[in-house]
Amino acid sequence: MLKKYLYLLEFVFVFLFLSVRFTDAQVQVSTDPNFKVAFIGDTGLGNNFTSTLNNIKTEGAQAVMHQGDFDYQYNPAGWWGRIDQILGSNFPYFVSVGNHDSASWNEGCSDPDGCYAKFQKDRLARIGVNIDNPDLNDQLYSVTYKGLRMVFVGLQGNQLGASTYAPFIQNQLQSDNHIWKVCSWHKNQSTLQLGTKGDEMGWEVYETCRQQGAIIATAHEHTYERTKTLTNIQALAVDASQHPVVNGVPSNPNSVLVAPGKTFVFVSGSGGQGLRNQDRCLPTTYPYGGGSGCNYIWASVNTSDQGGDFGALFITFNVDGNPNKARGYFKENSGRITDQFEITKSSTPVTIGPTQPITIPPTNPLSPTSTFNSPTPPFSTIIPTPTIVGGPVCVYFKN
Amino acid sequence: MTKKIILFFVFISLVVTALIVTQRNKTRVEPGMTQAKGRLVDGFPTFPQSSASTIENSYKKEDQGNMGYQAYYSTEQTPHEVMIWYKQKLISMGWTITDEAIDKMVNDLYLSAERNGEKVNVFSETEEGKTEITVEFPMQ
Repeated sequence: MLKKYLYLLEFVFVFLFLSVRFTDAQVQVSTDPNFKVAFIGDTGLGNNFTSTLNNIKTEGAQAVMHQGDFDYQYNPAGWWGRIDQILGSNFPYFVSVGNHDSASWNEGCSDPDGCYAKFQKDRLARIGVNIDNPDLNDQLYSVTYKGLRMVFVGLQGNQLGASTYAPFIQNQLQSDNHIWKVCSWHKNQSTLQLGTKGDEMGWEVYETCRQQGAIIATAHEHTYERTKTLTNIQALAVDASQHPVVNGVPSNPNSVLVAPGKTFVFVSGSGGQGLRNQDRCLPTTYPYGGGSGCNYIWASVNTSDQGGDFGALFITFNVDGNPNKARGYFKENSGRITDQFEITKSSTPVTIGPTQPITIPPTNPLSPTSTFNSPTPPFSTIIPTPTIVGGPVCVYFKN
Repeated sequence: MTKKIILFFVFISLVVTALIVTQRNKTRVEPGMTQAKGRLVDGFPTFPQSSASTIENSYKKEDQGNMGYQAYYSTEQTPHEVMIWYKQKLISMGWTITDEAIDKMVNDLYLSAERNGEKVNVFSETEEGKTEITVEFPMQ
């Protein structure tokens, strides 16, 4: 009788163990092994764009994500035709709309050269990729290709970021079980690019993608730059555990971590149209700027000030037999590689504690090196702030 | 005596005003960067300016012995007119055009030029009905 119960107990344990393993396997959907994607933007329709497409072809990318500003001529037929000519008419090519595309984006636009959204939709249908919603005129859509989850949002971040774009991203990603996710849009926030672009997207889209553990792909500024791992994008907070601070600078710039609550941002806007220089976060050499609005977030920069050339960012997902590992590099059309980095994907969410009111006594002013009795979130340090004497203050931590 | 005091205060006021104007026109905004409003920053390379344009601001930056410059202009001309003018002017001055996007472009036109190892990029686009011109000398 006892033996019977033991068998039953053993069966239950085995069942539970297998169930958990099975559930885990269901939770995490990988990309195809060594799945390489090219990220470009601001391409134009000249020889530079042709060179960038040839670069992509030579590197063996299996898909392109284009972050907008296509040909600057409102010539959808000519621009998509160039892609067909070099990469093939069935090559997986996914686009975000740019400000120089919007007038000819909508299906049903009156452009005699066609409408970008219609070309995109037809292409997706040809290669058998399902769209979450067949209406691309709202500039919002999401697709999955070879296990990579991609969410695209439009140009009106300042107007619709909080009310429409961020909820769309949240809706598409919050219960998504793919390991690798990418948010793609065209425009920037000023501190998330190194040129003269202003705040044009709002923070909600950035922070929502970070919370969902999605890589953030942008363009608009005609340069290439990539951040370190960020735990709060608006606050420009670099992940101190992934990038331990050495001599005042977060180290380990070429190893980034993506997890719910952590991600990195890049601008890949040097696809062929007028390469620009670096206006912000000087100097033009690593570790770049650490002052206000910069905070040593930048890991790699390639602009005309670095002697840069047009090119593409390539990310290969699921490398070295590890579905949670990816490798990225920026390769100029001339062949020079200017950035190389590894990305690790973790499913462990990052927990940031709630805001805590702290009162500083007049006799013990707060400074960047302060210690005080209020609880400090684990693995956190105080972001340097001016010395304040007395009264209630707001203290920002970086984790 | 009163006259001397008045003259003294007038002198002090002029000095203070001059200091304010100087500081406004020359502000350090980034490490290694010097900015000037309404004029070209000291040391800006010799470069043609269309008589139909106005200098908005300019800056220079330096890092490890390298210098870079940038100037913003505004004009009532179209970006296409601006770029055709620059292209012809630069060629006549011995510059070689190494890259350009001018013809057929709706907005955001540019050209790159080189002369004796010196590189320059000129951009022109319409923003809110006004044409902006940017001249960039990358760090070299």
